[in-house]
Amino acid sequence: MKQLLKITPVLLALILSGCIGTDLIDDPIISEKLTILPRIDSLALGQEQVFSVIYTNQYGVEEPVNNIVWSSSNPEKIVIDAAGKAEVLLPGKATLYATDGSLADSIVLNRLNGIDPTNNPDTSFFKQGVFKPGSGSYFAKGRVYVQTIDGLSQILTGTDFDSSPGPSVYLLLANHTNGNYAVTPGSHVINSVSAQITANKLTTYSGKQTWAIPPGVNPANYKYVVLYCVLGPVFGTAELN
Amino acid sequence: MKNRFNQIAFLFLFIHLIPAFLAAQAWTKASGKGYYKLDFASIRANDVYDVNGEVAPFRTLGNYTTSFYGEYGITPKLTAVAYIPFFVRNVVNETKGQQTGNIIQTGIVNNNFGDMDLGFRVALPVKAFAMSVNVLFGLPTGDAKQTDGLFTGDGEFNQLVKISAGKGKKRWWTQGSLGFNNRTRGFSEEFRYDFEFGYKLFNDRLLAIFKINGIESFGNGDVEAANVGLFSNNVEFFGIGPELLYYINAKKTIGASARITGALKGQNVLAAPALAVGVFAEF
Repeated sequence: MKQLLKITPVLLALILSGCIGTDLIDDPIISEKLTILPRIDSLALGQEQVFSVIYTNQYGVEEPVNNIVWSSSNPEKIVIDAAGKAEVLLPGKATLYATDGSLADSIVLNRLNGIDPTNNPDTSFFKQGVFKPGSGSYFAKGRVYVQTIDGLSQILTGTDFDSSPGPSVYLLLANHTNGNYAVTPGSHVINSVSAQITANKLTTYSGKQTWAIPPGVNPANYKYVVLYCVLGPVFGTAELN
Repeated sequence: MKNRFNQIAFLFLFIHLIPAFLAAQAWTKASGKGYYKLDFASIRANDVYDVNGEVAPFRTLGNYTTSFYGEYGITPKLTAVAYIPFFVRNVVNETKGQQTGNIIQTGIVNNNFGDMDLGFRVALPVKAFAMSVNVLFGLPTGDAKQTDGLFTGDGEFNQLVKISAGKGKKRWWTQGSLGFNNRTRGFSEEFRYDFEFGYKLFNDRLLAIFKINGIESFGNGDVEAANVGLFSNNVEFFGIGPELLYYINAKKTIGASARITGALKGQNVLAAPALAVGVFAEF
């Protein structure tokens, strides 16, 4: 019995071990970019709007940016000053540009006609892709579409969609295909590297399906649709074109 | 399928199923006598043998199982068997960006009870060697619903029947078994086999055992049964490894054990060594 008591503390230490460790990984590298905000496409006649720019580095982290040069393609219709404040002078269309000397972004204001832009948010966007298999033997195939109609953004799969089933698979938009995406069950984790589209894990792995893209996610900012298991494997990716 | 033989001489593989001490038990216990063990098994892996035996990357996953195992001789020819994994801890590491220091994915933990096995062993009337039938009922007492797939059980009721045979002399013994595991809830049936050779050293206080065991899936289950993470469907492996048992008292009734399990092939199992230590008593 004494010998057993000597061993027991060691056994207890083993039982209580198993801490959550940390896997250090290389941050995924994505394209640096400037983004003009807000992403609107219309302003009312005489309306003023202050635009700003955010810069995200190659790791998708926002950093301060200075020395932005603003310009308008049609200064008779809309002017913009060095601080990003724009004023609509005449009806029509114009494109606003922002650059820091190496990167640039633009937004198209195609309705400078006195209509209140908040009443007509129609913005059309459409891209499509085909799923390719991910890591190991996990697979995904079939067509996927990303579209915005009348202000509603969706991801849709075609009838040919099929993927490996799994206990914790989520649908994401992402800017890389290397895995290790931020996913929180019951939530939508959104950052410049990836956007969690499904709050809960998938329960159907084939056929035609539709998922709403959460508010705050601009599908134009992402290159891929991804099926990802939170334990690590990437089931499939589709590059959007 | 990638040929891992050419890349790694010896692969270690986790067998997160009925533990090794349940395998290949040809002898029944004497009436009123028992064998009881407290065991702690662990595995930590960041690779997995996937559904086709390909090695796929995983977030680092650790599984730590603390269990009780007992055998009790009801009669000289009938032994009751129980395996109770009363504390199973599954841990998935957080991932952190090396360049930004950002936490990309938070860690995941699930602590829970595991799937129990209760059964019996019946000695068969064979005189030339020991032979028995082992019947085990796998009860779905573990957690098969954890939202991230970190299950501590498979959620199905299975029935395992094994024929075991063994023979021994004063200093050595050997035993082996063949079995069929009938599974429910869409999981594929399995063929199971195991073999061991043991040798007694140092006045019979140290037992050195070499074990082989394996599972072959019939592949006849539903495709929707889990195929990622722990307790996946269609698990297959061929594993080998040593175990040491040491009696720490002169009466040889109390001892400590240690074992390591490795494998040469796998499917739907973690790809890493499995280590286990324990204390046992016989009375």
